[in-house]
Amino acid sequence: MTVQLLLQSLVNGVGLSMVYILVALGLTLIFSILRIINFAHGEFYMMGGFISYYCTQYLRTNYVLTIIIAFGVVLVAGILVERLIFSRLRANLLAGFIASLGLLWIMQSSAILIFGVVDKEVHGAFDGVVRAFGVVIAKERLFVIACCAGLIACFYLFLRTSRHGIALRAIAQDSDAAALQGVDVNRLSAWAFGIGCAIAAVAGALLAPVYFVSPSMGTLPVIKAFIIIILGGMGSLLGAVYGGFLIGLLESIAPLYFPAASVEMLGFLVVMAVLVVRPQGLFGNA
Amino acid sequence: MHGGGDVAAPGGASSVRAGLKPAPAEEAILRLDGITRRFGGVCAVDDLSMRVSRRSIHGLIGPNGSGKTTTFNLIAGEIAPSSGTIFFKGRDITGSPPHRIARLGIARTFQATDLFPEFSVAQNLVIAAQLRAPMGFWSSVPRTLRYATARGKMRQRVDAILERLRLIEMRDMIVRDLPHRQQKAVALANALATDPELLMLDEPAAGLTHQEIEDIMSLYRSLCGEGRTILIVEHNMRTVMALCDRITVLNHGRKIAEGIPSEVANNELVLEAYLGKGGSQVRVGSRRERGVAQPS
Amino acid sequence: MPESRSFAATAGFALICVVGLLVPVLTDDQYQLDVAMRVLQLLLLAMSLHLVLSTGRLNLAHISFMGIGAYVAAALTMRFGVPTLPAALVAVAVAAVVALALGLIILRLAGAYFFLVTFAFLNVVVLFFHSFFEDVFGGASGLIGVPNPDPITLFGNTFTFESRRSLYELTLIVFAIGGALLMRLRYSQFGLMCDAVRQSERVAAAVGVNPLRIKTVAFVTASSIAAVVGTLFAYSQKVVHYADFNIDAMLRLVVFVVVGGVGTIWGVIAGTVVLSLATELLRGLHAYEALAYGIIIVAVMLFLPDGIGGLARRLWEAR
Repeated sequence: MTVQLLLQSLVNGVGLSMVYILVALGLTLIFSILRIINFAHGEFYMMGGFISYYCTQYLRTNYVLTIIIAFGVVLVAGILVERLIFSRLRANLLAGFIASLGLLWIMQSSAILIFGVVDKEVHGAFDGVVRAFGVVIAKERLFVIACCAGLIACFYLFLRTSRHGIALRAIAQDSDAAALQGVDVNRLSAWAFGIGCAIAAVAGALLAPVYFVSPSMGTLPVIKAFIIIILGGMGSLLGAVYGGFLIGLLESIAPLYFPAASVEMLGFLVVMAVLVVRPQGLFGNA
Repeated sequence: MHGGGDVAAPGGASSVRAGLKPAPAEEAILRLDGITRRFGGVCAVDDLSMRVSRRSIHGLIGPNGSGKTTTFNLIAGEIAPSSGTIFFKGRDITGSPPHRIARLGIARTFQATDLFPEFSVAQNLVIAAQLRAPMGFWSSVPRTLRYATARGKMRQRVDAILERLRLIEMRDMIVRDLPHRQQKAVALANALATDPELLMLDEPAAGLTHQEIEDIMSLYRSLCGEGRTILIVEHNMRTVMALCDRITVLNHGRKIAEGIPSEVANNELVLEAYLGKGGSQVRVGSRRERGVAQPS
Repeated sequence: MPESRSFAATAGFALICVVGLLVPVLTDDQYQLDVAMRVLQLLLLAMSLHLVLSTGRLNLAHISFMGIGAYVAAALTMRFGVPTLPAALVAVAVAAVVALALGLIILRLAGAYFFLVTFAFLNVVVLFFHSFFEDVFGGASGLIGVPNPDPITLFGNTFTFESRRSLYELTLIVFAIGGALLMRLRYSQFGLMCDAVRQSERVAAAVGVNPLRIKTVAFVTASSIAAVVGTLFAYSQKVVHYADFNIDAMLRLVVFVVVGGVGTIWGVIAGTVVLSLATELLRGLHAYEALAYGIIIVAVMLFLPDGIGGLARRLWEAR
């Protein structure tokens, strides 16, 4: 195995990780604030992809604007969904999960009915590649990596320094105590859900030119996101980041040495082991 | 329909108490040796050693946070001690899981009444009673005659306990619909249904009227008369002093005093623990004025 | 014990058995017999899932044990020429052993973590049958062409299983026995203990009930029955493919059970019958079916979180 191939795989791995991290961040934000396991999270990712398709195909908007539109539209959609559905199911974990399942079916079948099952191609803003150290990176991918990194950094800063971000972290730790401190838990929960979905949508929009857009494109990322946050610790943002890198890199490098099926299976077995031995994840608190 | 003993009067209480001497080691039904339990940096229970004699009522008191409930949880097997050993009837039970400890003969109540909320009163007791009449998975299917007779006997036992605690009229009511007071009674009934030799009660008198306290005190004495032992955590000083044969006092997880009620009541360390420094100024004599039983 | 509820459930179960007996009398249509077979198999699967649910755990890998039963029985029959009955028994035994090993490890976990672990396990099983031992399990194509069960000779009569109708009758008998067993357990001392463990493991332990033992017994029993359904499935559907045991299939089952109402076994029965028949009616309208499903589920969760069973119980108690 040449160093070249390894390096190339590493670079691809980083790109993949970034996207997974975005999706996982959204999922873990939603879990830590609302305590629901949102199975439909991948569908918001898919929604971002389709918005990107629709905008570039029919509205001919420029690429950056498309991403902003995706963020905005899904933010609103997420808030609506939380207000209408999940806010009533906060007490009941199982009911929330089942409802998210229903939502998944609604969203995915709607996408099929509107756009059909055929994969759609989306043209990105950047053509061409960059060569460095014998490694080839599509400019498109570089843009994706840069955007993701930027978004992750913004998100981190938001949670650490802004008033709302701190309020969100308070709710995640103890929503009753936060409420006593004057935090409007209901309103912030809705926003948290919206932001979580919107981040996933941005990931979908960013990745649309790299892969195809299809109604089922959200299934795989959401499973990966679950694996990531289980490994990293549900509710732990840092865990999502570390977990994302771990999974992304493993996924890119392991297939060089092992058959793909074994890698996938090993992934799930590791998840099982982590849940049994250290359920709070590698970086979570008990 | 009282708990089987005479109506409680100070004289009645002391006549039971006066018969007991400090527990000789071989007769201790429960023995804690150097029990310590740490949670992170905090030492909830610190090198606690104590003995509880058979057929006695032993009080465990101390200010809030002194480690009483943690001690209960350690004995009941819900948590394991960081170090030390627990002996029940001479047998090492340290680290045994709660269900096995129940099987060995220790029952407990919880501070917050923990019951099976969706079940009726009778159903709650049936779960507890099955410990002494196991009819598990394999007999459930073929429904042998043995199953039917065992079930019948169990029902009788359950009803007897309900009668004793005056819950028989509520036997089919769903427990979460009952008032708190009666839930506490159901919790005690549950504990009794396991036919325990050692009964650990966590603040049973909380929220009860004076008369109700007198009633349960006579119930506890009759339980001792039957051969059971009671270990009780209680804040109500009057109840503790009147009821208990021996008292262990905890503060910050450590034992600061132990002995018969009058000794403990006059102990400076105890008064300090409850009332703060300068509390030892409070004289015990005033307690007579409040009509609390005095050792004769 | 609330006798009224057990009467309702037993009556419902008996009713289904009677209807089941009438189906082959009323129709000769192969398709309808197939539908009826599928519904009976699903019912047994749902009722066994309910046994696990009654201890307070949702086993997302329940269908994997059906898959293990199906694959092992089919592989033994097709690849190793093992006769039907031993193949079926070995299949169920394998599933039981796997369930025991898995259960002892994971049943001590809290509900949400147990749920996620079983989700991972489901994927492990799917990947296993897809990618490993391809010459035994058929790899990506699965096992096709499972032969009919061997003839049985009982009391001097020989029963063969060459027709759909005979397979249906076999399914009905297995359903009746398995279902009766589950009903029995539900309304017994053991069933009461399962419910107690679900309500509070802490209190159960304090009165001498070993929560882990109850959960494990329920888990292994339920998984073994799922494996029995799996062997029926293999012999009646003739094709064993891992896609029938993936997360989609499991989630449909979960929906049947939750819409029916996890609290009661007859709610589960009702939900499964209603929704599986609805599925058959909507078959072929894929996207619309999924859309309708999704809307029904969200509506039920918002307005009827106890499911049909819970609604019925509330109406009954309010009368």
